Amino acid sequence: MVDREAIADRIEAQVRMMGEIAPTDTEFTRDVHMFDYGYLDSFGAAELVAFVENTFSIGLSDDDLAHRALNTVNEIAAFVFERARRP
Amino acid sequence: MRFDIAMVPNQVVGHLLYALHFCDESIVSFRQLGTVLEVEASGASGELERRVQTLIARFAQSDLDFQVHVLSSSTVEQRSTAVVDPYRSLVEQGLVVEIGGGRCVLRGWMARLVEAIDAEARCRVARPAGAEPEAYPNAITCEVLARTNHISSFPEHLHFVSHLHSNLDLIDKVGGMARGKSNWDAELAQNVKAATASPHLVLNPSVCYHCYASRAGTMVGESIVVTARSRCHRYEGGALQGLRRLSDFDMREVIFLGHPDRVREHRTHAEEALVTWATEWDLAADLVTANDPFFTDEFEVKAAFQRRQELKHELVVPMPEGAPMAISSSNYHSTTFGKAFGITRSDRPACTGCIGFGLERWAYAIVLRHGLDVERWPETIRAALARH
Repeated sequence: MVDREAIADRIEAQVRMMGEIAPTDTEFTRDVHMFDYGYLDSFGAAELVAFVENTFSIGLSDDDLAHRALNTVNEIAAFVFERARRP
Repeated sequence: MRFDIAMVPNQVVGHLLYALHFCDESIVSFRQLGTVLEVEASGASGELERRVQTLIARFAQSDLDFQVHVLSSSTVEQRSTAVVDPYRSLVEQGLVVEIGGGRCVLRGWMARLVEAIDAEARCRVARPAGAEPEAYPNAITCEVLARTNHISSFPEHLHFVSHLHSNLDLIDKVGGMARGKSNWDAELAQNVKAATASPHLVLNPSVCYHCYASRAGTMVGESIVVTARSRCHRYEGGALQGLRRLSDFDMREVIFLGHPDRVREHRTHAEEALVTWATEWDLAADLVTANDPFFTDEFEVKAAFQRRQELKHELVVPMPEGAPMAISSSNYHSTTFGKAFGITRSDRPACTGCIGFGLERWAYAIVLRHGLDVERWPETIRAALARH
């Protein structure tokens, strides 16, 4: 069974590593807008997309990227959870 | 020469055609004929074909959503703009004097209109945001500009500045050669080129970089707002187009620094004021999502990200022909410049944003919409002219 919390754990860990986010950074949460707050830039966003696709074996279409809110760890985890449960 | 551009998405073809102006100096002209690009060049050039194919391939990769999203649609009567482009009339009446290379002198009511537009931008947008005025140099060092990533993103637009070597022999040679000449000829140009130091300055491509560079290593807190006006310079090659696309133009910017939520709020309020202003001046302007014309192979990643995150909005007006003209833009930079220049808010990099006003384009938009007879313009604009 797909564990949504585990998905969020993996994504958060990846973002923390990519963004070199200090453990003491209290502004970084699973609901913070990662791009607005500067944790990831345009190239980080592309790298994160590749990570999500490879790690969870799902595809993110251009339509997904253009029209789905995928700006926080929780938003991305919810998306992955939804896709992983598709038959 | 003919090139197949069927693989380039329709929404991106305009970017390709603009980029072609900087592709190869042998290009004389080009046109799009459906899915074929026809290029006329002076002399045969194997490099030309390779360069054009490289550019086509670069934009062909962009299969992302580049549809324009209208954020705020004009509520004024959508009558057509001037049937005939009034630019030539402005030149014939001496209100615009072309001095070549995308530079012009404005006179009479056109010059006063630009000043009125700037004053209105300060009153309507800068002052309500509590912006403090600042004054910046007209050029920026290459070292500072490199920190902004502008050189990696828009190298084709840069006007590099240099000077003669501090060398008595070279200076005497150039001065002596120029003495008695009344024109800049090939011989003089060649000698100047040989006597010139490597460029270390660039004419301002934008206003706000000085705001960030002058605050390098400082803490700005949760929110500060400043405003400045500067001549800006962007080499446009063959893409020059009257007042719509100058290489030397005047820009007013209001710049926001601090907490991301404060910067976003300032940007939103500034856009609301912008739309209200355009409505009161009866401009059929829409606020839309946009992206910068990234030229290098960073185009796909940066432009797509800019669009998806709505980092760039433009206020655009319809033109008699071709695409709408952007007269203002608002931008959210996240922590890009905060990180580049070590500007902080508490213990985090500061976020920045800005809203810019292309003063010549605003003036041109007013003439397009309301014509050349100032006495028949809306009272709101005439009052602004009288007030400022």
